[in-house]
Amino acid sequence: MIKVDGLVKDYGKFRAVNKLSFEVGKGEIFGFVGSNGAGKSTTMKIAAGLLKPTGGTIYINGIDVTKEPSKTKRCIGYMPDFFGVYDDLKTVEYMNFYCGIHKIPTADRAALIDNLLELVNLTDRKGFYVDDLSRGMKQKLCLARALIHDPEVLILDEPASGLDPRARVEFRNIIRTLQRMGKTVIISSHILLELSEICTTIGIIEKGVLVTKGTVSEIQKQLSHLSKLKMRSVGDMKNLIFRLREEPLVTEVIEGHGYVECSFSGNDEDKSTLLQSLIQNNIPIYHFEETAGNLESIFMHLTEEDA
Amino acid sequence: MINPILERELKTRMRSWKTAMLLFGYLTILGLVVAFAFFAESNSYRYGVSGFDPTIVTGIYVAISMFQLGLLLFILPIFTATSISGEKERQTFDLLMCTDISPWAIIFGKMSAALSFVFLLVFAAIPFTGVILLFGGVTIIDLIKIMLFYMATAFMVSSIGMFCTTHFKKNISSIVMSYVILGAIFFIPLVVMAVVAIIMSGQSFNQPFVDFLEKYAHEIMTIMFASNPFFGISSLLSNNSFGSGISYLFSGMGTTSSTFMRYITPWMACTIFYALFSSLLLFLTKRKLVKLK
Repeated sequence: MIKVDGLVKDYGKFRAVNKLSFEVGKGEIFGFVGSNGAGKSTTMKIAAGLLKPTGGTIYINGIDVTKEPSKTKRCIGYMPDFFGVYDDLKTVEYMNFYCGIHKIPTADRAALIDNLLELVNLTDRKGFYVDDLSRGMKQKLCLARALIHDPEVLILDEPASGLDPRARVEFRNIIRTLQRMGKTVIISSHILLELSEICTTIGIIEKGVLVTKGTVSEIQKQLSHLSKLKMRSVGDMKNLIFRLREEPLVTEVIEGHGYVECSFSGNDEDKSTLLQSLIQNNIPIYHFEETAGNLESIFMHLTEEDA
Repeated sequence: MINPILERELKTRMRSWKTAMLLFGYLTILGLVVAFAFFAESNSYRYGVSGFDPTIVTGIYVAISMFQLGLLLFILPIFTATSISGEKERQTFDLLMCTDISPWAIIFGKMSAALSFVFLLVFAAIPFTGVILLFGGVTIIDLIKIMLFYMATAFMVSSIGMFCTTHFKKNISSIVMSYVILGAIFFIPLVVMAVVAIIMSGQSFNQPFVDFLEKYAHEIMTIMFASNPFFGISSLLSNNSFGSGISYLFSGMGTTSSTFMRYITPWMACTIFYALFSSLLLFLTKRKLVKLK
């Protein structure tokens, strides 16, 4: 469906995207994660036909976006990371304007606009001026606009930025609905946790390079060496800390309120061995828990490593 | 199906109170200009001879024509030079460009929206010119010719605006550059003419070159001033004293010609120049619109 092939984009001497390659299958929700300036928006703009790559290309449905931009634009719905609305139009007029741009026959427009506004929960704001809508509503209106020509692929650049928690949940539900409708979605964010709940696949980009790609569980598995172990002991915590610091697979030991947490780079067998060793050394452990490296720490680790 | 950009521009512009105020203000100023011209002309006549001289209305006709031409030159860059840069400032430009709308549709929509509003002002002033028809001296054909000349001028001015607005991100830069280009194409020929006149007044000047200039003065003047709309309109107002004066001023270096150029009147020269210049600017505008960074 979408194939990014050796994509390179330079702004003068600065390389924003560096030989980026990945594929997104039909019906997938691909989360594109990276810190600010990592190259997400540049990649998405190239896919939307708004920027010219310095090297490589992107194929949408097998069509090269640089060679046949008008063909690919017909199957892409793009939502940028800014509002981009006409404040002096009413919601329905705004939608009608883009229906005209996409050459939707006049007779079909009213029903289409009603359906799209219903999808994004803006039916009751149909007659409102865009200027009077809240930020979240404007974002949803932008999404409805991107759907007017029924594109197969949706490119959403940080659609949930600046939204309150309720609006974020609503937005996630809309994205899930779009997936059920068979759309392929590329969605970017600089918050991995935000995407992990809705994305089928995630790609982490840093300094224009794809650091890793896979499902959330695959990424967590890849980085299992980052797992943390949390322990509680009936006895003296200092003994526990002393023993842990002697273990070769333990890299960092932190004492909390009534517990000790350590970074552990071994597998499940190694964890079992560690627990046995602690008990054999008369450390009365009553709580031994693996706190899987959370997504934020994975993201931080990956991007720090690259930096 | 109406161009969606034109439809949106007209809808938002025509329901704004600013439009009604602008129309009201424009007609008020034009009415004052007409009243001033009428009383100035009739008072000066009254001191000499008793009664009303209907020929004074031709003076009013010239005043209205010049005022409206000035309006086109002043207002159109503001409307057209902000059309694309305004979309960029509003961050809606990328949304247009990621659709498969053709660049010509964008250019046509934006230009026609700006032109239609300016022509609304011009047509709203028709009742003033209608009064002139009552007194004679100006025919309906003259009025139609003037209107067509306005359209040609407006097309050229809006092409300059469109060219600038696609090349600049900020409205203010685009407007300033539009006025600079307009100023350049209007005033550079005047400066060149003045320089040539000064050089030719020197006694040691090359005689064959002076002969050449004198022989082809009509052709040179016509080509040089084809960019200046006041040169063009002078030939349309030449059946009255003011127009004749301008005509004489612009073509004073030679009114006879032995080449085909004798058939080209100033308004024709201007219209041909406008067509060529606008085509070039619009071609460059379209190229800039589709060119990706």
